[in-house]
Amino acid sequence: MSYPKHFFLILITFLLSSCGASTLSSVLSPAEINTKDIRKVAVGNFEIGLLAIKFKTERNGVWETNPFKLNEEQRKTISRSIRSRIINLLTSTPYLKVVFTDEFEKLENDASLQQLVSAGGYKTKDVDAVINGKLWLEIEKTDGVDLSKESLEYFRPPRTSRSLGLNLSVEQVVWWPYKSARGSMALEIKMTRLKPTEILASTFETRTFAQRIGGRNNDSFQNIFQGIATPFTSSKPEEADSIETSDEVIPSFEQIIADLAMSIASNFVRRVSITEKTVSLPIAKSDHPNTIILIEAGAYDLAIEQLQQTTAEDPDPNDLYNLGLCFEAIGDYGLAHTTYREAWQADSENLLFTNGLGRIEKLRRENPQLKRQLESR
Amino acid sequence: MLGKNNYSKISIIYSMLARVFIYMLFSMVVTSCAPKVSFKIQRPPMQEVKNIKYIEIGNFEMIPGKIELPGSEKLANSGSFAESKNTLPPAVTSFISTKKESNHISELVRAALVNDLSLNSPYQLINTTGEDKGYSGVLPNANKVGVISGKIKFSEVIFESSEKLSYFVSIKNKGVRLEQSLLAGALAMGAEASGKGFLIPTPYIEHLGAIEVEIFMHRKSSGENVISPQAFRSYLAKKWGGDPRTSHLPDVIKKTLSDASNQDQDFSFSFLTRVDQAGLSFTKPTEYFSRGFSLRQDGDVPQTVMDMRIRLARETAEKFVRQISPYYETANLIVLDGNPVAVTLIRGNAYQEAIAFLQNQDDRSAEDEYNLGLAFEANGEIQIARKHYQLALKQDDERQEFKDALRRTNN
Repeated sequence: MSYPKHFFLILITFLLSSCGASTLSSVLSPAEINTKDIRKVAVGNFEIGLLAIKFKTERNGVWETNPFKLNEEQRKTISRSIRSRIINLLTSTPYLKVVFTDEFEKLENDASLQQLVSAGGYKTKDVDAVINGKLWLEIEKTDGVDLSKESLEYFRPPRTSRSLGLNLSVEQVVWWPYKSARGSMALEIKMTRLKPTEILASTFETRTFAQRIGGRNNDSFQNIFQGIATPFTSSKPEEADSIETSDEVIPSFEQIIADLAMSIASNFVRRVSITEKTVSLPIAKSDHPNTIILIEAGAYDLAIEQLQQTTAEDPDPNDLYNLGLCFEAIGDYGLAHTTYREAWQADSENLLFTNGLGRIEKLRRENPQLKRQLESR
Repeated sequence: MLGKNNYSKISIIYSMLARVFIYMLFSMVVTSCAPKVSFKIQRPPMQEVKNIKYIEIGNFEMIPGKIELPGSEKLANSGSFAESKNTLPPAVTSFISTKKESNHISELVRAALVNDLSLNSPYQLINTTGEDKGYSGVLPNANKVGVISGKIKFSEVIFESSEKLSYFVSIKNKGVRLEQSLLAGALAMGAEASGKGFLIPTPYIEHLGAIEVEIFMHRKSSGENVISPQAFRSYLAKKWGGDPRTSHLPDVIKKTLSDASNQDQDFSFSFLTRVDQAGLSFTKPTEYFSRGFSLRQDGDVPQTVMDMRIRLARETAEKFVRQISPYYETANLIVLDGNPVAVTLIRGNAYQEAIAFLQNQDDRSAEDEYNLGLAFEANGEIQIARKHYQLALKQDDERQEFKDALRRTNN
């Protein structure tokens, strides 16, 4: 199963590299919202707006729905599990520090948090901002039957030259049982700065999950495309034989909730915190191969040191571009822009250099809330 | 068991071959070195908002009443529309809001609105809950605070039922001549269409929903309306299972709703976005994960009712935020062969540099003038862009690209 996967990874790498430039790996990505002064955050409560879990059954066109009733403790557990996932992701970012306190978590809803913050009545000190949220969740598991018309072939070869033999196709209506699960989660996450009080970010993200096993076989384009990305991204492809990751098992409620919450939380963290991401950026050809090796290895500070020396002696535009690339990788967009500009001025028809300029312009244009967070480095 | 295993092996091989083909196609598309000029153009807000810096979210209340259908006058003239053979009983001919709070719709509209304002607008949010209290210690000048409130009408009808569909089964003798076989096939189809055959209850789920949100924005100090109040409507009608031609909505209404929204473009949308998503999976895997593309999405699993509510809430919020905030649109525009340095800058998305460069050129050709307009347009300065398109047209009044650009920037 893994041969074609590897073959295509190699093929794509080869084709990508045939465009003439090397690639750059891990770079810093700016927060979409200006969180420059925020270092220490506390995580408050995740209020529950809606929590509905249903089992549906369909036989002979008659639908039956059984809601699964959750008690208060179970509702709180779900809310806490989502909260802990957000804490987990926040602690893994290098620029935000999570202050562990339950003072804000105890508050029932957003209005009480707002009241406490307005009055300045919180005891926890050294907190720059509080994150809290609200959750709407609906999960349905269905057990039903598909109908389709199928043909069965009966064939008997002709016995004599005059006989046509038997070649019949008999149609039958077939009932195909299936099971499906669908989860929809909407999560509102808010980051409030304490002093001066301001709502820095508020996101309302929704995610859905839908899986179906069994039923009538209709291999659609969607199913094919679903599989395209798997070799590149899924953290689990190598363990495809285990129950948890099998395509033939409907995941548990907990698993669905966890997957939906993780995806939303990671998007929120991307918005409010500087994160590391892997991107493909072209490196210019250079007469100093050691600088290229340094960039490819992600040793940007060392590469900057070397390139600054090199370009001071001989301002070759390719080296200037690579220097800009290193500044971009560490998130110093002001210097990156200046250096790309110098490279472009030396060779004004080079698309590689204007692409560098364009990337920085695009970043500023598309993030109106972003103020250059790392330029003071 | 052996047979089943063989079958599953064949299907795995088939599926792998299909993927191989898509990979090859995809990698060819991704890796081709051809230049692509895709612009993300900033559009100005649709209404002028004067002297507002802060935004407070006020109350969003549910109100009862009828939600107008798009093109209601035309519908009224079409007379009775319940009597179509494709309409399932009971027919839904209007959407009536019943002021039911249990569907969380006002909360969802508020959350969607706050999200869009937080992400795209230049305003500072000071209260997002709809509660009166707000942050008392830091209230800014009330003259610069706009309060957004709304009245919501919402109606949803969910059908989980079955319809009796005809299944005409036959025995076909393949050892006959082609014309006989075709005739037999046509007869079977005709019999099925006319309802002959086994009538078997076939399950379906149909979701019908409509929302109308009238949004107000008033100045906190004086109470005057900052923008003229407007009602935004969104509709959704979707069916899973059963006969795709039938619906609880009469044909006329169904057609009007699908004309008013673009939900029927689901297939092309999902086809293209899935190619993009797959590209993202190896260029930016973190983003791929955080945007939820890694989550499984089997298309034939019906949506939950909450999906429908969220979709309607988001659509109306998005429509409103465009009224008061600049927004982005992606467009593929043509860059003309002018000054090569400027062309390179535009192709590299460095519009501000291109503007600065072209403005310093004394002798601009018609193509340069057009490219300068393009850079301004991409940068969100539509009026100045128009001026340069006009200058380009003055130099060469035959060029279709110049006329198209002027038409595009007419609003």
